[in-house]
Amino acid sequence: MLEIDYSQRLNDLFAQVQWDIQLPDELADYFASNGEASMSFPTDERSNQRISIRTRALLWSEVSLPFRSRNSAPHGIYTRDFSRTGSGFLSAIEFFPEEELRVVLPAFWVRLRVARVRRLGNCCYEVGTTLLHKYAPSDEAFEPSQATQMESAL
Amino acid sequence: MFALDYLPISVATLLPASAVGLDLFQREQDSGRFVLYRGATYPLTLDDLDRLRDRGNHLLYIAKDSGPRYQSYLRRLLDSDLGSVNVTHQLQVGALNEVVLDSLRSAFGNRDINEAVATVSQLGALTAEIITRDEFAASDLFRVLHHDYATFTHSTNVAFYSAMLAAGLGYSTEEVEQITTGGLLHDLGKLDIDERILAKPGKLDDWEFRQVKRHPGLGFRKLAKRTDLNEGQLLMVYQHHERMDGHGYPVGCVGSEIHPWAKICAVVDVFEALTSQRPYRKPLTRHKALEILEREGSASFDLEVLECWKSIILSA
Repeated sequence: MLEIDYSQRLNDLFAQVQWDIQLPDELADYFASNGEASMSFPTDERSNQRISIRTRALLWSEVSLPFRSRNSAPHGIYTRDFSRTGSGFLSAIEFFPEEELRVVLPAFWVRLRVARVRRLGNCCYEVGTTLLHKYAPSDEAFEPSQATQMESAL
Repeated sequence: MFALDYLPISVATLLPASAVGLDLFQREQDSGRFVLYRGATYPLTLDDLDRLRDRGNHLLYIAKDSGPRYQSYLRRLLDSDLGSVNVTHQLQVGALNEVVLDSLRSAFGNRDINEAVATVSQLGALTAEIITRDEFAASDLFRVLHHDYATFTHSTNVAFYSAMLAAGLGYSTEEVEQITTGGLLHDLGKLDIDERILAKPGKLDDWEFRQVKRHPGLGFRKLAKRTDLNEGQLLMVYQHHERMDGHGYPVGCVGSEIHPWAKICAVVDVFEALTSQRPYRKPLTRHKALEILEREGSASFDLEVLECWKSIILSA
């Protein structure tokens, strides 16, 4: 029941948010590699293998920076990959290192801290993040309690 | 005593007709030996200073343990009224350069970021006060700047140049203060890059270059949550290697996505790098550096900012 509610709420929100991301030509078949598949990155300097998870997701800003406040509305993003320690996604807006975000996907939700950002084109930024916490589907994905926020801050 | 026992001091900071209160030494060109030039109580004359400059001798030396007393002397100069006998504006600019350099070195040296930000904010105010005076001349500053390849020297020079350019573009004195502070902080992230890479005499390999390119992000991450720095100052740190057509780093922002203060920092950062000693080449002349900036043109820089910098340099 919980999973149905979670999926339903996510789908309802998917229909409501703006999808402003403009994929550059080289990413035109972006969702063709949707699903979980281990990926090899020849120039990758990290020790944890990344798994490709290309899907739509929702993002909320949880901790913004003093010089750039964010509104509380969700943004639509496209996820790229996840590892045990981080993840990458595409966004229409530029985030800054140290911002903290909540990202809700169909199968789980996470709290992330922005590590690096690269502009791929108009309204398309590739965001690399550090994973703070990963959670199973729950209502808290949409209305986080003080407790999980505290947990994330620790 | 050995070379390590002495500190170089700029002749441009010495007040004629008054004793500095420190023994001043000269370094013999052939032997490299340090010989006493003036005793602590013996005043320098204007003729002495002219003769030193005529011989192209811009540095004298003091014993290393006299460093704090020299800094006190410089601060007294900066606190002096310009009306005071012999305290010229040029002398104050020389003192400013030495004080900023020394303060930056010690503030960043102890790695306390709160202290560093507090120090550079004070230095920003002091610099802006001097650079926005009517009697300020860019040539006074060019005469006293150091051009060695040290992050502190580079940051000091970039801060002064940013202040001059911001004043030239018509920013208020308060904004010039903030921009100067941003300039002093712009390369903070380099403190976390291996000095062997930064000072490498040859070409950097791909991995080394990737390490160097991390410095805007590293500096920004240290400062991003502070409330005592504004957006423009933080983006000077984060965006000073961004270029107008998007070929810069770390993000690859274009045109209007780059903060106006970061555009100021971008121009003077490249100019300073070109006109300073590098491990792999000699400093270029100011005119040659301007030529290179112009060749980059609108692909890299905001043309209004570049034109203003050009007019400042050409009029110096």
